[in-house]
Amino acid sequence: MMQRYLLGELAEAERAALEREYFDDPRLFDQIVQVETELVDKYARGLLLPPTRERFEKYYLAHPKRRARAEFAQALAAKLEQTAEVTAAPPARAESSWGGWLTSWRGPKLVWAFSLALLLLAAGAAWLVIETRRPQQELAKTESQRTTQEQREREVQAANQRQASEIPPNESDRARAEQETVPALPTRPLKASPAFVFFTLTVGGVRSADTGPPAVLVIPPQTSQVRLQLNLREKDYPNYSAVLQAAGGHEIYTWPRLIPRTIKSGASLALIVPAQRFASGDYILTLRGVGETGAVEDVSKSLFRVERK
Amino acid sequence: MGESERRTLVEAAFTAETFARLLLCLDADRERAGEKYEDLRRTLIRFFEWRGAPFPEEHADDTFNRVERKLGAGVEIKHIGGYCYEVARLIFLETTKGADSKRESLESLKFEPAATDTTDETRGKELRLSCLEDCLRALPAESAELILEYYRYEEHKQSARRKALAERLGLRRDALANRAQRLRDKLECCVSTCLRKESAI
Repeated sequence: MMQRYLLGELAEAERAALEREYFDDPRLFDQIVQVETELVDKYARGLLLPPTRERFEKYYLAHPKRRARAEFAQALAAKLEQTAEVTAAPPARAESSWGGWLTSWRGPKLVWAFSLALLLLAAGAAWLVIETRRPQQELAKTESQRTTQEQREREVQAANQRQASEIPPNESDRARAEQETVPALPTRPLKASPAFVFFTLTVGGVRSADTGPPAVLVIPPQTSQVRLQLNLREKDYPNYSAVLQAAGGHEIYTWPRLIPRTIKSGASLALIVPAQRFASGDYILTLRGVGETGAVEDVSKSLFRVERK
Repeated sequence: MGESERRTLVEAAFTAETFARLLLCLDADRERAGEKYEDLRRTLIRFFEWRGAPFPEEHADDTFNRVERKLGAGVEIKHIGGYCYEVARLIFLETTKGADSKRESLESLKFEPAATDTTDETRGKELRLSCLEDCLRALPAESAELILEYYRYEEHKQSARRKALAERLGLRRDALANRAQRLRDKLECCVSTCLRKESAI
């Protein structure tokens, strides 16, 4: 009822009755305001069902004040996502061994541990594409000397190697890798039903969205977040912005201001997307650099494929 | 009559005496009456916004002005909320049908949301985010933390997290929701002011 009121779907008599009621009852008014807040927050996060979203855009956004409220909600959602980047998402099942391990590593330690793991994985995948696959025995020998945490990383890397070996490398793959964009690592679910999945893309220049086979992001059921890590070979700009679009052109998500983190191999950007925004299909991530004068330039376009399980 | 002249008249009519009369009607206790006035004004503004009226704040003040005039003329108002609503509804109808028909409801206009991000839009978003960060910093630390914690999105966990937050703060859930909403409204207002200042530079 309240949502229908906010979306202008009530008949005049119902509308007036509800208005009389909330003018007399401040608690009812507060409830409607909260319903409105939930509505704009859902819109900002792309969580509204298509018919509701259409109605919202047609009716609610038609008023400048209401539109400003929706824009504020988008800014707040972006800020909250930035904040979430430094706070590790909890595991889906705390009672599992992975869950217990993750719980003990919550906070910055977890972020750094996974960042390190992702960097190692990205380096490993690039090496695999450019040269040949490293013998597993050699890898196993090196890995056996590492700590328990590194053993985890090694298991994931080995899984990645197995996945990569299913696709025979060819000359065009190699040339493309050498030229500019290192293909993304396939997604590795942390467990059967992870709270989030990681996906790493490495970019080094402007790339058309239609070259080469796209990297594949696998989203298992019940995944709540997709964490995209964008590795840059050079940090050419103080800030970046990014736009995620479905291959058909529909915009999924935008990041107006991304501050790169310097890493050994260049810089990296962390992007978080609610998993429910993805359907199976192809997506394009456009990265733009924002100069100190505010000038915006395209940096890269990365095509990847999403497979929902 | 021009809009600016009309506004001047509305403001001039809002004298201390008539305002005191309105407050007395809201509550005998002056402080409590002030709070009720703020609540009622907030309700009026949202009513006009939700209805799609073009100038919600002005219409809200216009509503109070007319109610005060009635009080000044000796009209006894038993249910101030309901009375204000009837006056507000009348004003809304005037804005859509009467002398203010030029400022027709924006609902009737076809609004096409931008399909893609333009550079200007991207900059606008950046500016808004920057303003939001400034406004969050301007809030007391515990208020900023409350907003970030309360509105943090986690699928299927929102309710449990808010419940835990309410318990931690020793508040009922509805009280926490209202506190978070008021802080959010304040933050939204701060961001709006910041954006106006930035665009004026």
